[in-house]
Amino acid sequence: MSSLTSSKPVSLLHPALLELLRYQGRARLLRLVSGFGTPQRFVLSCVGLFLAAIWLGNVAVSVLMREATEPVRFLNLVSLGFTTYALWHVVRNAVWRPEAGIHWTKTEQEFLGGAPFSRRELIGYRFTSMLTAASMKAVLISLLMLPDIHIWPAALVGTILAMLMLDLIRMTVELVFHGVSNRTYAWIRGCVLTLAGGCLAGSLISMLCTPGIFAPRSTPIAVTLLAQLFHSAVDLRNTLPGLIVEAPFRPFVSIVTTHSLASYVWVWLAVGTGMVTMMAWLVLRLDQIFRTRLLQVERQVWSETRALDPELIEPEINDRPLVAIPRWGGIYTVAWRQWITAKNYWASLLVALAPLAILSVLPLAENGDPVKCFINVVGGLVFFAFIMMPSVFKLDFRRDLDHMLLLKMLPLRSSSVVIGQLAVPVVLATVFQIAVLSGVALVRPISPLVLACTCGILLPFNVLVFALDNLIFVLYPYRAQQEGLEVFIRAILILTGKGLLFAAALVFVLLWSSAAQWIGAEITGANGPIPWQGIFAAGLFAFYVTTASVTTWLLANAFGRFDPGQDVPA
Amino acid sequence: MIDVNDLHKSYDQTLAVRGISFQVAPGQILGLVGPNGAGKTTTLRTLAAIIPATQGRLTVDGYRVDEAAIEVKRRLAYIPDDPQLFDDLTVEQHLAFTASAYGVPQASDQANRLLQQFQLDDKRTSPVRALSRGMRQKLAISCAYLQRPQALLFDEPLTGLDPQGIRMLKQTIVDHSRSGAAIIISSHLLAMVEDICTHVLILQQGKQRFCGTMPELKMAFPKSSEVTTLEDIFFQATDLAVAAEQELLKV
Repeated sequence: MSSLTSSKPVSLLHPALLELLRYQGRARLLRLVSGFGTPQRFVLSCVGLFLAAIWLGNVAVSVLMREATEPVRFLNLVSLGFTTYALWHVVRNAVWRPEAGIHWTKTEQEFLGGAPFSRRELIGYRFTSMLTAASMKAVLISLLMLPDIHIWPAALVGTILAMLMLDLIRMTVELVFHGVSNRTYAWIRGCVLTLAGGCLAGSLISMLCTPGIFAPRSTPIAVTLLAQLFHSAVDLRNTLPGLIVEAPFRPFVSIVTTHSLASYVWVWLAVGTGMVTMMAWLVLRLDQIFRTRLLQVERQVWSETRALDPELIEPEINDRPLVAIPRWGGIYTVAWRQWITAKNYWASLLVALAPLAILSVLPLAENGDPVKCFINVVGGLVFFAFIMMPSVFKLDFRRDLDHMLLLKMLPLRSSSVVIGQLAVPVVLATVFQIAVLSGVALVRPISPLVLACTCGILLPFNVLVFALDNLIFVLYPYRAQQEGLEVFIRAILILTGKGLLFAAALVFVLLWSSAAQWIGAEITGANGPIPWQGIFAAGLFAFYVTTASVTTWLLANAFGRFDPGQDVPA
Repeated sequence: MIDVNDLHKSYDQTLAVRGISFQVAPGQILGLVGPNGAGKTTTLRTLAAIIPATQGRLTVDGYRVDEAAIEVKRRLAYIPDDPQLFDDLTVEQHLAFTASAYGVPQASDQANRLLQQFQLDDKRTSPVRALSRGMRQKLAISCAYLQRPQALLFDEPLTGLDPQGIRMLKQTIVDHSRSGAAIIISSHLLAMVEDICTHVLILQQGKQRFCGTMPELKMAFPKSSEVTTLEDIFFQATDLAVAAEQELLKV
């Protein structure tokens, strides 16, 4: 986005930009209505709305019927929620340096950047979009907190201001982390990561050292550990550094949790509004400072480069051979391409997998039978693989909406393209699961045969999971940044569908285990050569191989019929 | 080499292409011209076996597009108007990927030559997302040439190219045609079509208005003035068609 040189005083929001925001709002509404356009979409939308009503009704009832949280605990929860989210922005930007001070979409860059708007007006436009989004989120959050709050309008205003503050903090962090020199950024990154790592390690140590934390109890160990983590965070909040970090959200927390509209609430409101205004001003100022600085650096680099004799610069041209990629009917070629993408995002993948790994191995904290512990870990892994893993490893068709034409052009069978597309996420997911299970087996020894069988069954299971997600995507493609009712309905449909499938698979496994016991007893006898567990594992493997093959075949058919000109959403 | 017979393509209730037929022999260059929405891209994509034809018989080098799509794809290269390349790959990785997918043996020498020819040799380790629109177009064309296709389908090939790139692309198209490739170019740049194409096909609203050589075209649409350009003929052909349709509506 241009317009660095705007010296004349300008308004914060140009009337044309205000009009644009109005049009965007109307377009969202129209898109929402167009979701019912075709008969197929109408039926799906109706089913989705029906399910959404059930889900939301359930949530609403559970929100309204639940008991109010104890006031001090509620205050701690609200305060820690806002503070943790703000700190997350700092840590995230310390790990992945932002590519721009303020992120603009391609349309904003090309359309608004070329229009005669000042930088101030463009950032004002961004603030207004943030306010709209923050207001909608705040309505939802304040409704979820309904049993705990006393004055809903106050809670709503407090939450809107807090959400705005969070966005402004994020913008400030991104501006600073992008604008500072590489050396300063490395220093900031070191400090932030050391502090974050120290806090996390301290919390974990204090949590694990709590007397009786692993004693047998009725509540699951995960809940106990989370409760202990919360207590550690509350203790940290009451220290001086905690109070300083929490300070930007104190007025909003007081407004949200207020019992009456006493004069101090109005004072907090004035203070909070002032703080938000100050932060907005800071964002504008930082943007100006860092843009000027980056331009100076650019000019300096240019003047240094210009001083160099071009003859002395080593040309990068070389005639090295291309990397030879094995073909394997095109399967390896397609998979190789996804592997390159995976390598580019390995850090993000590791960060996304870490919580799954931690949650999966929580049963280790419970003392008990190793077999039971192993089954619990496998259950957790299977559940996460079904619900969350496809979102972590989006290294298939879901990332290739704009490349469907290119994939369709390749002289490869649809089945080869599909297998190549699924290979990398399936292999990565399986390797992750094998690593977790092997770690668990080291801590709580288990028969190597059981471990090998489980790992063998997980492979076709993962194929099934990823093929299913891709099949849904290819049949009903969507863009990741899409928003609105259609996306919500799709999420509800997919979640419900997956939930039903998971339940059906669970029932099948239970029934099959009984059947395997019966078959084992009937055919081979109680002490026969094949134990019922072997029959059970073989049947499960055959089931997953069959269902995975059928789903992959359906996906190949859907890909074969996919028309990039018609089916790719705008 | 390319034989299209009675091609129809419909989307829901819209007939995008209505019974077009043409042949492109080795060494010929067919210019596909027509207003926006005439069915040019649909024709090319159907021929490239990306979308199925609703009706009609399409063959490339004797292989039917609907029956032997993979054989057809091996023999032709389609360069779309806005090539969406894999952003995470570098320029040379893209070429390596193409060589592997199309099974091109010993592609390195050819790849190096193409990189130099299209002035991409200093960008070979740059990720595709860092390339400009024109450079992406050059890379897409390099990938297409790398497979040594017998048939080439270009959809608006000059978009985003610099003057040097335009001249070079035109020259390489002529060179490929001389070495026996059958080429189809869809373009709105009528001067370019007139310059390098041996045959012209005019499409309008999915219908074939004319198909033949340039001299045949000039004979089919005679004009009083001495100099008749393809642009003049194009407007004459499309205006006549519109007038005829309006007449039909009146009747």
